[in-house]
Amino acid sequence: MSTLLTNQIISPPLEDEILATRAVDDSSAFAELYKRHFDRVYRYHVAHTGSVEDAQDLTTQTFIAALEGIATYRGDGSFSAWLLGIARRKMAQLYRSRRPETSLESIQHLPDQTNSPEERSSQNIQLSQISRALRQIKTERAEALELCLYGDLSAAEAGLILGKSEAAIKMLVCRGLKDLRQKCALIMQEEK
Amino acid sequence: MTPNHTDNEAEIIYQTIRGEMNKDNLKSISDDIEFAATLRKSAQNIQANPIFKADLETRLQRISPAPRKSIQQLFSGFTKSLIWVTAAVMIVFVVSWSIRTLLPQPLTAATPSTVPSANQNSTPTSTPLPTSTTYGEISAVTPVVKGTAEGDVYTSPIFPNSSIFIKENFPTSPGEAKVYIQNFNKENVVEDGLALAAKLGFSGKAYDVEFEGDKLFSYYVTDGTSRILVFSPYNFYYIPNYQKFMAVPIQDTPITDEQISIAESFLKEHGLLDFPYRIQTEDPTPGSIRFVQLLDDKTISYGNLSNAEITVEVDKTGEINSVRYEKLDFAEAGTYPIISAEEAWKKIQLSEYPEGLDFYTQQISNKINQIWAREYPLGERVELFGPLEILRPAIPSDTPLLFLNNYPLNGDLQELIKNINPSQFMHIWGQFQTDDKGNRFLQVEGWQPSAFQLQTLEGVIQRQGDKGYITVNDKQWLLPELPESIPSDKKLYVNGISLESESIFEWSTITTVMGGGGGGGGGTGFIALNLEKAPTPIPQPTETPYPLPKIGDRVDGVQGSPYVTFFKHTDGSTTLSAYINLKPSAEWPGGLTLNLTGDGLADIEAYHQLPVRIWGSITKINQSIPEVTVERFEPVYPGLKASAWLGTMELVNLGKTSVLLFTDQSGSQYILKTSMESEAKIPSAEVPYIVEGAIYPDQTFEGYPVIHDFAMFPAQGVENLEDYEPHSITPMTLDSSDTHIGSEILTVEKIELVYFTTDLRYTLPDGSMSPVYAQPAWRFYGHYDNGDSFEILVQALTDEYLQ
Repeated sequence: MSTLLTNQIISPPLEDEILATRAVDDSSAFAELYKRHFDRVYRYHVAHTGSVEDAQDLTTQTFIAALEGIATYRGDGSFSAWLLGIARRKMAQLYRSRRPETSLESIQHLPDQTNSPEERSSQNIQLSQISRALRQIKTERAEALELCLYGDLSAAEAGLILGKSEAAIKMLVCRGLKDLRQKCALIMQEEK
Repeated sequence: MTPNHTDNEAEIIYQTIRGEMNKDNLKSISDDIEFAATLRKSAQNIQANPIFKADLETRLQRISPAPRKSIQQLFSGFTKSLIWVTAAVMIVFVVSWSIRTLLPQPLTAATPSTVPSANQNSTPTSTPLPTSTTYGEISAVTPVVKGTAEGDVYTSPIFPNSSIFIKENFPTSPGEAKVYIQNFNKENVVEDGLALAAKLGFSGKAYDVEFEGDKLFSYYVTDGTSRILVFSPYNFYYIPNYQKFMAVPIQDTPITDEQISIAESFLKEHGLLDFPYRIQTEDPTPGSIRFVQLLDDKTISYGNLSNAEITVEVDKTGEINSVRYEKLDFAEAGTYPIISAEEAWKKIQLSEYPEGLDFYTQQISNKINQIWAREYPLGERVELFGPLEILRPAIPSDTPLLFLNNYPLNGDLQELIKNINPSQFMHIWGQFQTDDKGNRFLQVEGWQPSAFQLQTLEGVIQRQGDKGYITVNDKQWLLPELPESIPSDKKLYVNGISLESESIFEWSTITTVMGGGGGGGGGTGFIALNLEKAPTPIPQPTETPYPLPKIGDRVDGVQGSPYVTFFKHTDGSTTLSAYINLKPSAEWPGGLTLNLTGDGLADIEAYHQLPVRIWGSITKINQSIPEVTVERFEPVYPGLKASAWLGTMELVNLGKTSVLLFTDQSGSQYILKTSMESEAKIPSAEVPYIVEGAIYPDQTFEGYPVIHDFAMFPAQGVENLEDYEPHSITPMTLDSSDTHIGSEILTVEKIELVYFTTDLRYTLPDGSMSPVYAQPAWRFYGHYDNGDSFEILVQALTDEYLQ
């Protein structure tokens, strides 16, 4: 068995790592990374900003920064975590300059081919409530939730970004979810 | 405070959030888990506008990625030459960190130079101290073993299966302590940095600090020789001679009293040590003296084994190499009751996830990273390869500064500045000269983007006469102008450019291997303070939502697949760890993890990940995980073996379920069990895969045999599995000294009250932050038996002053 194969097998995230290595001089490799990770980046930004425009802007910035900095990806950790780390920085920079309103009308334009109109409406309400509620709970808990739920990171990966242990992230997710449920209930009452 | 949650509940909610838990398998679903499942579905349904997605992809294809940076930059944390790069990354971390405080916090005064009146009015000193507090089942600090030679022995779920010795008596608590608010230092303006440079004895100009194309709020002041990275006049990094700093190896011998005296005198002479301090002796930093700032004679701690402090590096000749400076300023917010050190220790014993607690471990650094930079001859034409550093002036009328391999560049550089991006890997030639201070600069004669990539050769240097060589893969490379001081008896990393045709390696730097230095931590962090509100009742721990077995309960014929791990200890011995996870059932609706132990486990490793039935009894419960002393076990399917298959994967709909259909090289088809339990995805289409797992003889899905897959890997280029060695089929062996997993001995050597505060180097003082407190915390500091250090900080304010 070749050494390369041994390495591939021992290290599960290696496939992304190989692509990231090739992406320095192979645009198709980065295109593949883009396809794989687009959803997690976009969803993460939508959930946090509550704005399609901001999410598109931040997703664009995130991928451009990732492409420009792909050579700095060391390959010794999760590519997803590395990418979401950039996404998080981009979001911080956005909020440094301004503070967006919680307007989620535009979220209703999200295309969804799978659900009925009724389901889509229900989903839109939920998403707007969730995005609002996420800003009303403790920041660390919200961040852990956003990274694990919308960024689709494992607790270990989210821990790399937030500087927490895997166990702590799980507990933050658990507590954040409880807080979020309470806040969503309050928001629903207010909206009635 | 929020109610406590059980580990099981957190695990289930987390798994549901991640889509790893099939809620249909749960007969009893709590509202939280139902909500988690709804959230998961909602998240999965968010789709971007496809036009935007396609458009962005097109835009990205038109952008060229940045050139690969040097190996040094790739491993910037390990090399001294990249401290400035690291500093820039830190600043970006500052930006990212700020999100925690920027987003949800209420907008309050930017610079609390005066204490909020609410705090002053809260008259906390008259609040009676709680007479007793009950934490879970623990009502007193009770050592497992009392009075050993090393002190009393305790256990904690934070450090499972470990013994904790406490060498000291718990200190007599002061009963109350002050709380302070950190005053943000004044705005960071260039004039302050220039004045700071003058104070430190040089006249420089200010330059922007950039990262990812963004100008950051800090800036450099430099005259080309000295450099200051200015975060604020009270927070900066000063390097008197940048060129020398980058080229001189770090001192690897203990700091002398004379060096301490030199550092102390330097700070005092420049008016930089005008506050109470102590000299840090724990975990010494190689080559550096640490002056820790004190508040009420107590250490100001940031957690993570770091303090508010000044770090001064003094070389062996007594010259100052660098000063990492910070000085914090505080306003008093009041005096409040605190828990005792003994009560703080109870919290450490209470739960794996206690609130109001942070802990951190730091691996011992057994080697110091050293760097040697190449020194080129004066007055001769030389060729350099390296990433271009461009410092753009903060005042536009000033001219940029350019560096290559930390050497200033001189000459007609306008075209270079105009056409080359920072960090471009360059080939520049010219002659080295010295300025009036004796520092070298390169008088540039020509340049071009490098046709070569930076390489790193790893090996031991051989000397033949006055020449030095390194051999890699049987090829010998000449290392020109190799100083005699570079050792030839140990492995080194040589960075540079290989000129293949001449077997010459044009090296630029040589570094040693960096050993250790990693760390990690846990805890859920400190609880926000509640100084302005009326005391609130302390919530009692909630009931466990799912039942757990009790000590003494029987386990008869329970079926599960043991996950076996071997831990290799520092004394050479090996211990076995085995767990089984029980799926949610009527009896255990939350599922159950059982830790297996006992003599009845002999040869269990042969059934790693394969189904067995076990008999025994619950003899212990640790971190909500029952421990079963196994009397015997038997395989569910005698003769069943795990295997590996090579084949292709496709996503198919069978019935109402979307699952992964795997076709092996012989054409046999199987369904992957994990795809039946959670959302099925093909990681990458058109790539062959190796699947490791086992086929239970009595299980099929829609007519297909089912592989209980343990692992799946892409296998591009693999044609057969003749030489394949499966790795998930046999148990892993972990080195417990590296992992801090398994039985360990921890010794608490110091228990002290400190002030915990936030490191504002990692936040943005932009006016939107809530008050940043310095609050009392109990610090338990000590070492693992392998020499790694640890620190546990427990919030000391009583519960009514926590949110």
